[in-house]
Amino acid sequence: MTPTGKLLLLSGLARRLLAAPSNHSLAAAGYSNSSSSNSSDVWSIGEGGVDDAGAASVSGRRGASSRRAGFAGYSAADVAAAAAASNTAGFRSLVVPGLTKEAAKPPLLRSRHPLTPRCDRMKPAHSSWPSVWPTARTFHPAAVPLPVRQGRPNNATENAGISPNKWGNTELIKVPNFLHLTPAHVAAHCAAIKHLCTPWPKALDEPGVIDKQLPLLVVTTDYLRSHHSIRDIRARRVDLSLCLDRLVKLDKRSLEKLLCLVSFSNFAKVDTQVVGSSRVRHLRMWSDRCPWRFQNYDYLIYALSALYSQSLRHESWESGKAWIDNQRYEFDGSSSQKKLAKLANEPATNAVTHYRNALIKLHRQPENGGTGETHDSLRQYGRAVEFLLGIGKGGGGGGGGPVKKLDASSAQQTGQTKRTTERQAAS
Amino acid sequence: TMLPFRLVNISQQIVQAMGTKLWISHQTRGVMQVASCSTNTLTAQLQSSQSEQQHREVDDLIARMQVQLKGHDPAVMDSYEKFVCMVSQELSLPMRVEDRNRPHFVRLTLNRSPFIHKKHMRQYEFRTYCKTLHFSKLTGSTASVFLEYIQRNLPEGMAMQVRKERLEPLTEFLHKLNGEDAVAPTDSSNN
Repeated sequence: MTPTGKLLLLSGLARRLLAAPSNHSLAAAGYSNSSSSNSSDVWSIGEGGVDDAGAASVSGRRGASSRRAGFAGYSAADVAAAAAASNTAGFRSLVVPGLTKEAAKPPLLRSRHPLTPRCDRMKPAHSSWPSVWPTARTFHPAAVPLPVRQGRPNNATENAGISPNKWGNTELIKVPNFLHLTPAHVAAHCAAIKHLCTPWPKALDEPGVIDKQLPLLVVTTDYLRSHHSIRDIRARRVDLSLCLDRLVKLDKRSLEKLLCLVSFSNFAKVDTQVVGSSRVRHLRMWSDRCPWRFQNYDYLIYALSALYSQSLRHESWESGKAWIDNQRYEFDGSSSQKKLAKLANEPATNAVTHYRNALIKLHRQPENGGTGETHDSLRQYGRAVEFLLGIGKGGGGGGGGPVKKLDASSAQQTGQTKRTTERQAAS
Repeated sequence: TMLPFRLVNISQQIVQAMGTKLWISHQTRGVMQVASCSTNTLTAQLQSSQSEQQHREVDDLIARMQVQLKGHDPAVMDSYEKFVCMVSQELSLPMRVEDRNRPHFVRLTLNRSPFIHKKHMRQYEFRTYCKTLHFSKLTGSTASVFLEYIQRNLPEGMAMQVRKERLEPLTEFLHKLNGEDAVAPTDSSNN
């Protein structure tokens, strides 16, 4: 038979042969299929009309036949089926790598989803972002449906001069993202926890209520950081503030004793604010001597109670207090007062008053009613001394010199006098 | 890095957390102001609404609270500030932001080479940005809830300091020294 004849014969036979259901190709490839129970039932080639030269050509010249089948354009499945058929007849099928077209294998089940990333499959109408990204997690490019870019190329040739995209971008992974704290998240979270909040009592907004009912101010600090320990030694410190006006039993002597006791301590001080003509005093205490915060708080409450109660008590030995123990400058008993007795002439009372006021203004600090050492207070002291001694621009004479020259300056001194005398009368 | 556990159902977690936290915040003071203050209507208004507890606890009163944030990345800090702003609006807490817009620098000048070449050095700097959030007139419960939510969502690499100024009445002993009754006269109209 001529090769052409064989080809034609084969083509006719092959058509009958290869008109097989596709599941047999699976059977040929080794996948069991319940529908095709026995391949030999269908394949009757061995018995059927292939006992002529065509069969021999099919079985004997399987290499050539497969080649020609490839030539003739038969599908790979059909060729594999033919190979399977010859297998059932007891012959191995020759598989030439590169030439034999193997049966199309079904795709391996690598993932449940096709290769499209999730971000491209997301539909905003059907999904809510809080359910997609409920908690904080590192950035994932396939899960975030945003065309985010991060980074800057060094020149125009790197990445075509544009910022790198999100795929495999480590900078996007390193930076903390807030995709778990969008407005939708926050609204849902706050709606769930809002019932635990309590409102500020309106009664406290009225003036004077807090000063009377809640005069103690306790300051504490909490520290939060990413560290191997959640503790912070600074958190033990407690500060306490109290307005001394609230301690109603403090008279002049008790207040002075309290100021004296506070000056001895290294954990308390009294801040004085001059508000117009009045003074507001705050007692400020702090404690970090105990290891726990509540211990420091209890210590401060104890110290405050001890300070107040002891300043109200007046011991008998307190009468032995000397002039030097005064908390603020007092003219009575000072060496300046004693020196007045050494003057040749008896000074006039208004000169003594001027002198006394000038000294008080000079020596006392602002929180005690004076101004301390300023140019004005020094000048005033100088004028008062000149007036006392009857010297200076005012002219000669004994105590109580000419009043004319000092009228302008004494006018402000009179004002000062009035204020200081008022204050002394009040205290 | 992830925290040991993450919130999935925040309401459940916060409620569970808040249930224990309210107790702890009062126990750390070591003082349980209970029955003696309950007749005071003013403090009665502040009692927590936790009806499961056997006795009623008085809520804290915070006159002012400052939340100071420190970090090295200004973009992250700005995002966190936006988040806190959202939360304060949802919980109706007036907030004021203080930002110096200038970090604190720590600079190091070190040798570039391990040996000799002293003329060639390298300079490094650490930038710490600071932001303060000011709140006023909060109750202890509100502050606890707000702070817990804020702190759980604090990003990595940021630090926080919370300074609370708490208002308290005078103790019984101080009232006695003052010659006053510890219990203020009741005012039923404030209910």
